[in-house]
Amino acid sequence: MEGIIEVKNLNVTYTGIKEVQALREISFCVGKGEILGVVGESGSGKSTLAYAFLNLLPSDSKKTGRILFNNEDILSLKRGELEKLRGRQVSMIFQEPAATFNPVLSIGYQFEEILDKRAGIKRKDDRRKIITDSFNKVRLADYTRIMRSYPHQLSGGQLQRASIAMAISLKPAVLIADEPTSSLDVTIESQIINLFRDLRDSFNLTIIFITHNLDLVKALCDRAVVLYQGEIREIASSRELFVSPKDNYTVSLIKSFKELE
Amino acid sequence: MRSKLGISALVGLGLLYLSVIFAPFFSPYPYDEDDVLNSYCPPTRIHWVDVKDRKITPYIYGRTVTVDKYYRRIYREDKTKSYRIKFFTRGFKYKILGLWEFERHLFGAEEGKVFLLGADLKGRDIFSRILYGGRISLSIGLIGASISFFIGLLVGGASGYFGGRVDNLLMRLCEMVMMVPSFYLMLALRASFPPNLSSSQVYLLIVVILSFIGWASTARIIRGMAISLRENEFIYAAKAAGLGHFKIIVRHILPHTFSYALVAIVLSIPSYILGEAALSLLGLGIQEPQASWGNLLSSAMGIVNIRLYPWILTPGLFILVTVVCFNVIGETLRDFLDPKRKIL
Repeated sequence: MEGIIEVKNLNVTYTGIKEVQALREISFCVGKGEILGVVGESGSGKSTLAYAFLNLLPSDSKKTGRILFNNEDILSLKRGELEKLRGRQVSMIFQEPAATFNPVLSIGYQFEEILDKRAGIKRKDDRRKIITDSFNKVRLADYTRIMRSYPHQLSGGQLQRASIAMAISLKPAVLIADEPTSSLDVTIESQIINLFRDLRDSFNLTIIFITHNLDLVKALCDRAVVLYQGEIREIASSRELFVSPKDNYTVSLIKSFKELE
Repeated sequence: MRSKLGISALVGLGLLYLSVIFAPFFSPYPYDEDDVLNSYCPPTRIHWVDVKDRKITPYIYGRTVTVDKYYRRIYREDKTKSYRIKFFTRGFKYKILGLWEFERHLFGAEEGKVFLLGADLKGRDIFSRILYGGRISLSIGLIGASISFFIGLLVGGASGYFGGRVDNLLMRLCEMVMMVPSFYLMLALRASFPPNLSSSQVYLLIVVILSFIGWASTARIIRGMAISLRENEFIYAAKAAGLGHFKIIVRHILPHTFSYALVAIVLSIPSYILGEAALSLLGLGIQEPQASWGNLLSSAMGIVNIRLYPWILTPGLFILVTVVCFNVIGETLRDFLDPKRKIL
């Protein structure tokens, strides 16, 4: 498989009141069209990793190492180049769909803003076509109502679909999903998971799927990275991970998950 | 209760602004028409019941003048002559909104002069001067507050959003502006410009000076709001979508501060009106014969003048009413926009 993202010796340290090293010597590759799961408990550095892909880490953090996207290091890109990359080539979906949208602006406004100001699509018809297209892809009906709505007027599932629609509207190569389903109920969750699979199958989209839910890794991901306290404990295909886990931490993680069921 | 008060304040202000915009129509005489024979003429009494014709109609009596031993002019009504007050009479020519020529005025005396609020030293009608002066005083507040909030929102937004060195620099700048007592700063700024400017230049200058003083406190509060907003996920989402810093500040952070800013703008307008009044009162603002509420009051500075001719204080009443109206509207808006307010 052709590689698209390569993380090399990534270290991230937050230099707040106390120095905390959130990621230690992280290295892995992501292939094109692959769905890579990143699992770990709270505080293991999953979200830090997600934010690092778009260089969204706060300014008081120290980063060493490289994240290569098409042989370009994301961490050392200039601001203008970074803005070109964000949303167009690598886009991101956040944990809390209700918080992803600005509560004082309508969904339509925020969607159009990205197409108009960001991608420079000035003709209204063109924008409308792109928006309806991506709404279809995420199976979001009722175009006019949703475009006119404010975030509080929609359900969590609708909002998360809308945010996925927004994230894929500019046809990115990589989608980073930071626990996209953890605030949704189980039926919506399975719909969203199916949606991710469809997107990968039909557009060869690379997805980095960050989650603490092992079931989702089993159901969706090709391979998985197990993180514990900022270190990679194991990288394996998701089948291998469940059948023959090599690391002790992975074993206990799977065990505790089964006990829960 | 609150909203009734607010609506009446809004109506009051609306009337004030209307009468100021159409000042020439409402004022019977030009603001700069000297008439030494009527120097310090007290407000003309208007009579209503016409005994002779047995009907109710407004009219005034003629005036006789005597000069007392201190060379003060004493005006008395001359009951032998009476003049009716006419509405929509012909008077001096003017242009409505600077476009159409017109010569009708709301009211005017048949003969003689009707001084609704008395006359000043040069015999100019104070009522007309208040209306013309209101054009300056009432617009300075709006323009000044808008400019300083524009600056304050941008500076505060940028400062809070970027944080770090930018924040440090901008906030120290704010503190420097706020450190100097605003009145001295105002005087110092005014003194740094030449004294002999045309009245429109002075007007602009005052607006700039007042907004230069006003932006700092706004910027500080907006900065605080921006700091708490920038950690929101939707700001990260906007960044992840590739929006630039400026767009994020203007379109995603500042709109959240508008409900605060609206109230604060309305509540800050009085300080601009008072600032202009203070500058003009000291003779540093709008110059004669141009009128503004501040320089109208400057003739009322001496206690002797106030004792002898108390009507020259009326511009102060207009300032008072305007300031109270703006404050009441601001308070009402604040209650109205408060999401935690009790629904009655």
